[in-house]
Amino acid sequence: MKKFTVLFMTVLFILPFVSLFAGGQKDAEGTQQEAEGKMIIRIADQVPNLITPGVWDGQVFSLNSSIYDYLIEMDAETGKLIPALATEWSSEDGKVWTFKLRKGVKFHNGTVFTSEDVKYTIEMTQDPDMGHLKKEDFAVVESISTPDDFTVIINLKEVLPTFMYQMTDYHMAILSSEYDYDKLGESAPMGTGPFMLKKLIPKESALLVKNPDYWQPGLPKADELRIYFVPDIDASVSMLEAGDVDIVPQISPIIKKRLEVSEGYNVVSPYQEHRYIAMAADREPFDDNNVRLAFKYCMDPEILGKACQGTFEKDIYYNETPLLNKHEQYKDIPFRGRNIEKAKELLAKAGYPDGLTVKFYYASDHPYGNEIAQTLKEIAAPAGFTLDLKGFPRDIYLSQYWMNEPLLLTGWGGRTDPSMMLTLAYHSKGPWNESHMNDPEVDDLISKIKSEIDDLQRQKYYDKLQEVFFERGTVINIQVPYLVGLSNTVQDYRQPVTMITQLKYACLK
Amino acid sequence: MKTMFLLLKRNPLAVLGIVILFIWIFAAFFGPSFLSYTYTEMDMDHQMSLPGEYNHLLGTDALGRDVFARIIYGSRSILTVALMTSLFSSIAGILIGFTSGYFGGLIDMIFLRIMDIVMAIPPLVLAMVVLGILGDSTIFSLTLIVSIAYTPATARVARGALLSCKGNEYVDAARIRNESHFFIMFVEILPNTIGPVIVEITARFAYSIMMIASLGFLGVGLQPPTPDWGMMVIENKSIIKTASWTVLYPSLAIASLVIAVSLFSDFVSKVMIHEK
Repeated sequence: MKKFTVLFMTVLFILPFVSLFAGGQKDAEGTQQEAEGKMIIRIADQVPNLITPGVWDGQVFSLNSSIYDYLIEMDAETGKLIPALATEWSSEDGKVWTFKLRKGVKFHNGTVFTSEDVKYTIEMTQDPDMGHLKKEDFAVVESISTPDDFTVIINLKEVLPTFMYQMTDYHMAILSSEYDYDKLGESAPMGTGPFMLKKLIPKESALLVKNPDYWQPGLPKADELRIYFVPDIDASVSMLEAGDVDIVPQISPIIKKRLEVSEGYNVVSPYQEHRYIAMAADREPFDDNNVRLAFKYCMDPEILGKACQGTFEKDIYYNETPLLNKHEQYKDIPFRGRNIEKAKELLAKAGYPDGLTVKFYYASDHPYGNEIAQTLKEIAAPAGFTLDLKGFPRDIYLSQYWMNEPLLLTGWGGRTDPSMMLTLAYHSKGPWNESHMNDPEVDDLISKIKSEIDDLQRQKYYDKLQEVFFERGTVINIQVPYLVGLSNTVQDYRQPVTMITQLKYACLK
Repeated sequence: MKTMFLLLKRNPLAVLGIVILFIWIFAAFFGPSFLSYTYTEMDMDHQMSLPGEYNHLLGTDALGRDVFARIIYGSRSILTVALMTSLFSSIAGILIGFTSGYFGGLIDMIFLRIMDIVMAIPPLVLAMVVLGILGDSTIFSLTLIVSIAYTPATARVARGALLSCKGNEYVDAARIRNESHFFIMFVEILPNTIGPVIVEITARFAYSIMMIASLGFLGVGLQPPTPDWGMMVIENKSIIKTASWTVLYPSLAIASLVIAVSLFSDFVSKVMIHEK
């Protein structure tokens, strides 16, 4: 017994040293690699849930956008579509689309990329077992033919002149038709992307190495990507400040201020994203347009801009339509102005002469969530709106309250063409119709926008749609900059409005 | 009373604790009427302004809200919840502890095991889980949860105190007089065991403050913009380098209140020992 006790105590004493040496080995590995002159970019990203492209929630772009490629990419500077796995695409009538594919591209497992893979990727959207998040958008596909290995012809059921934008969606990463994503999609993701997965520790980290056969000459510039999944953004920023990582995506405006006063960091804003305030059109009190208008008359974009640590019309934008002010289709409708008397009058007309209390749901851990919610409470109060703030962690917000409550604040982004967003969130049959919009005129205009080939005529529909939204819409659209914290050694960080990071261009000084 | 003042005279730390506690109670009751700002008012032209600047005694936070006003208003919620929590957990603890100890046997065993189960879960974890399930933190739900978490400790102290008195002659005399169980427990025994129970209650008061502040810090406390001190710390921790006062002052508020209550609790304990 005595011997056993001594042995037990000895093991207890030695254990901490063993773990110490384990850490030492890891450090040694890193030092050795750096000594070999490898360029290693380290990223602290959020913790992913699912990572298979069709079903992933888009939280960890650094991982998927590095492993997979898309048919079409977006130029981060100009916003123009540029060839990726498709070298060209065309459609004469908007109904039959032909994609010419790049030759000589290989998947990470050595198989050659062909038209069958594109067909497989698109067909997978309709797989009833998968729950693909682009199922509705691709239900329009009638048939896909592959006349040769590098040509894909997609026949649509209806005319869709902007169909090519669907191929830039972050769920539409090109998959290999010969790989079992059902079994391996979550543990061993594999594509044609610039980096190959070497090691994945779920919910903890991923190690990606340069794809030596990448189709784009000279890319990727970095040899390795090390992605750490960190649940707390403050911890991620502390890692950046300690020099443990080089890139921290999706930082909050307050952290931007923190990094701006320190030396050695750079905060970039690659694009604008939406914070939609959705007022459910079929739920009290917002089923009455007078209440929606009253709420809109309470808005003060300058105050909202300051609360978001920005400047109105410089980095914070505002409108009452689903479009970004930076969209070329945006109709510049003048701001209606803050008018508390008018808001009170409208509320009285709607049957709330003494004001009303509304619960306001939002994701408190999502950038700009707290800032916007607390500011709204303050600026809407004089008109008689008492907002009962209900902030929850994003997972809880999305799973329990989003789509179910009359007043919501949700972050949106990544849809390159406004028609994608309109179909998804504002058509009465849209799967993510969070404001329960059910307006026949809006439905009709969205259908016309989607199918109109003539640009001028399509713009007229856009104009009309935005007028309708201004008058009786269910959304207030605050546009905020997506912020990324970088060590100032990072160069050429690119992330277009598709939200897909293009880390193949990134390098270190 | 005379003894208490004598003890106070000999114990300057207790005086300090009582003074700080009274300042906070005064601030909670009357403070808001002396303030130039409400806790939600945003001075957007002076976000993160330094303490003393632009008529903001302790500066402003990232949304331009007056830190001093938020701390003063915040004292209301934290004191309310902490006081109610101490009160409820004490009443429940005394009821359970006394019933358990007085009747003994199977009742005692059942109560003790239930208390063991609740005590086996760390109070903070228990509160977080329950609040997570309820999905909404209000003063009522916070009070309820923290009370449940702290009831077993008070119950154990109350049970122990009762057991030490259970065999005394005055209890036997009451039994012979055919007094009811309720009378014996709460009229005969309770006044004679109140010392340790009061000490426990004052100690729980300090723990409750810490727990409420911790829940606010972990994001499951009261909803914003309610100026919960713990929430103020977490809300501003990202700007600790640029606007340290937004974190420093709420932290100092928490610390000062906890220390004051602890000093007061020590003093109560000394008074009880002295009286014994």
